[in-house]
Amino acid sequence: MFFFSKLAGQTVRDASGRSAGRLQDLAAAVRTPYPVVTALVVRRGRRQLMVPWSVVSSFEESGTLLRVPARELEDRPLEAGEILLSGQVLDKQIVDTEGHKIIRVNDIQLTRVGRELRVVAVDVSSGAILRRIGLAKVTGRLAKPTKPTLIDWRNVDPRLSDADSVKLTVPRTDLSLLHPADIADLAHELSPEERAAVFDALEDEVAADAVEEMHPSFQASLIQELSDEKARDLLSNMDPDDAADLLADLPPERAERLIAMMAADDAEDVRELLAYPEHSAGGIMTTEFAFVGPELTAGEAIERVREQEPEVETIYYVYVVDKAERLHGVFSLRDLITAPPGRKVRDFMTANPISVAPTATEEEVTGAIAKYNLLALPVVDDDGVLHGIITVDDAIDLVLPLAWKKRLPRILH
Amino acid sequence: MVQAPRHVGRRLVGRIGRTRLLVILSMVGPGLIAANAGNDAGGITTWSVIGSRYGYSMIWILVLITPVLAVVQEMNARVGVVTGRGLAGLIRENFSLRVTALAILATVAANFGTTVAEFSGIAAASGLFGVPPYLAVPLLAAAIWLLVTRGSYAKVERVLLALGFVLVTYVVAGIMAKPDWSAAAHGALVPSVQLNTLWIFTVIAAVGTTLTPWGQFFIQAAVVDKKVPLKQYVYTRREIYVGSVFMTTIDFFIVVACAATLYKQGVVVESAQEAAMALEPFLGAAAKYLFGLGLLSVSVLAASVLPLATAYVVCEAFGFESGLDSSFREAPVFNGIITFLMFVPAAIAVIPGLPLVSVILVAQMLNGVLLPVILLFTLHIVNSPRVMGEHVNGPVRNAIAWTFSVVLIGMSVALVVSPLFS
Repeated sequence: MFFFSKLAGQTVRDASGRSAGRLQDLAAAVRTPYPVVTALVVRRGRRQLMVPWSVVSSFEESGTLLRVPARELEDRPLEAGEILLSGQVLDKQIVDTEGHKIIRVNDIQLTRVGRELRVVAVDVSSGAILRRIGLAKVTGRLAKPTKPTLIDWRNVDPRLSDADSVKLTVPRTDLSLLHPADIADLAHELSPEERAAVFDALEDEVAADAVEEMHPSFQASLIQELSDEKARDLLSNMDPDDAADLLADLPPERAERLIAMMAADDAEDVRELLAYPEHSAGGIMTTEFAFVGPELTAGEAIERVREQEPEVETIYYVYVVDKAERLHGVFSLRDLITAPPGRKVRDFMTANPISVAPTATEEEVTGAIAKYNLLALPVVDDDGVLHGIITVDDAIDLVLPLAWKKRLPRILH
Repeated sequence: MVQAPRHVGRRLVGRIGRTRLLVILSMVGPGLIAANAGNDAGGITTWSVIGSRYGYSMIWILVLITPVLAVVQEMNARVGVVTGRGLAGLIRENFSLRVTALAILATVAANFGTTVAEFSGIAAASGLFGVPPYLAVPLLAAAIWLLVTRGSYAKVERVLLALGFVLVTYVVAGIMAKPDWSAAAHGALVPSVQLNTLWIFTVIAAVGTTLTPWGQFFIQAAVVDKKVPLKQYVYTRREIYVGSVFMTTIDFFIVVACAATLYKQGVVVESAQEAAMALEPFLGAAAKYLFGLGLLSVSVLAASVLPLATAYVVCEAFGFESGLDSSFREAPVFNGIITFLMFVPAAIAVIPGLPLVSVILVAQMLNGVLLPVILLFTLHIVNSPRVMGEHVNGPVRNAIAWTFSVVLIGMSVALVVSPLFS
């Protein structure tokens, strides 16, 4: 992933390592949903040169290398269907289909796809402004750095856009931000090598989120294209239940090898989940849930939940288990917060909560969640030991076909 | 001032017909409002002080600054009509983000301080009428806020135009003072220069209060918001010229009123409020009220325009929905900025113990530094064929604007450097 602002101004060197000028702009062809960069605009003194992408030998944030000598470079005009990223997109007003001004383009995000460089999104966050004026480090120390707010390039209509503004293809209420699922969509459009390259370039967390959004059969084929190390990093960053499902779809030898490469606790979670049939409660559940002992006070329990929060899938339900991991009760975040700090957990929990066995079918799971309006359903074996929970999100995935879920609008904020 | 275009109108009706006249009248607004808003609390104060301290001798500065004001305002209005976009947005697109961010930040800070000055002008004026400021300021702030956030462009324009006509009170006060007209003419035509720090400072203050960065932002935003068509721009241009002359004429009468009375008797005042009270012994209570009414209306006018101009600047630069015809829900940032810039300065102006004077002084400094910067931005944009096409500046306008810019930069440097020597 590159931000245009970090690329602009970098030195472009020719085959002999001499400077051919500074990168001023990028030209991209808008034929495809995610435009492919076709040329670099290089500025040398007062002269400006269009350098075709075909002569680029390496392209990095630190600098670009060409495969030909600078003197052999020939200028060419901008072709039809090409846009200039800095000249025609950056800093321009974004206007939706109803003519509402949304915001200005603060930065542009590109990603390497195989040998190509593609435009994937426009960054509209204020963090992008700070980054560009060189204040990101200063403000980063004062406050948590803001995440980029990315508008998916597919919402941009480059044909309608003019010198004044960048037009969108949707009204502002339908605007979608670039989401891991969109990277997953992008992956569907690419060849296997390109796909591997994209996922290699992504940060593990983003890549893992994107993989979770993909169709299961696709997940397995993607992992098969990646190196063991990258596959291991992806799996470790996925929720254990999703990771287990994915591993179940891989050839047994590769799955075993990858599990062996994972950290001990991640591997143990995955192994436990793999032991259950894929379409049973045990196969769907996640082992990452919030739990406390029955003798804690409400105040201590809040402390425990706070410690567990980064790891677990939900904290809206907290499960009460004894030393032998047997499930005694459950309470909601609301019960916890409204309880006097000195009150014992056992005194405000709901005893004997609704649960299912690891062998329960998908229908039994979704039926129980729907019937009792639960946010999560515990999975308990014959000895009363709590093995995991199934959240309502995972249950929805069972009921709603994947294609429908993707069509649900994602609304800007 | 309603009289002026109508009077001209009556003369023209026979020649150009009623429809055309309606078109001309419908184009009136941005130029006159921007000119009158430029004559804000600070402006009235400065010219009152000048009249009481230097008599008729500095009137020539008013004569010189009139064409400069006209040229600068005309440039911004033309850019607005031709591009249909505000100045801040064009700065963002034509200059680096770093420069834009700095200029916008400084403009917001300066406008904030200037708005504080306007509300303290309202407080002072209400004091002249015996109304306690802590009653008048919040009430007027709420009234202005309602007008600006709830009203359409057309409604806001009508109220602001009407406020400008109240300034005729200064003409009445000036004539009441029975000035020495030949001395006034002499002061207008023969430049007299004093080479001392106080005099130079006074000149800087006079120029800085007449031409302001926010005035430039405002006039461009106003013609954009009014959607003045290029075909009818010629009327807006004439209106700007008329507005500039009207503005300096008002200032002329303020100087004359103070010169004929206070200066003659050796009374030096430091504020518009003081001037109004000092005039009472010479011209009676009527003069005090005339001056007070003028101060009240310019302060209200500028207090309406400044938050508006600031909201335009921020929204244009960062691309948020803006415009007087947009509701709070459609343009939350735009209306949020207006709200903030109405009530916080109003509070600073009436709550005792807040750093009122230092806020106003810092704002004046910032305005002094910003004015040449924004002017150079404008000159760059207005001379760019890519942006303006065939409507780039002609040689005469460029000559006036560039000469003034150079003088202004010299003065700004003096303004910034001078505290180091005092």
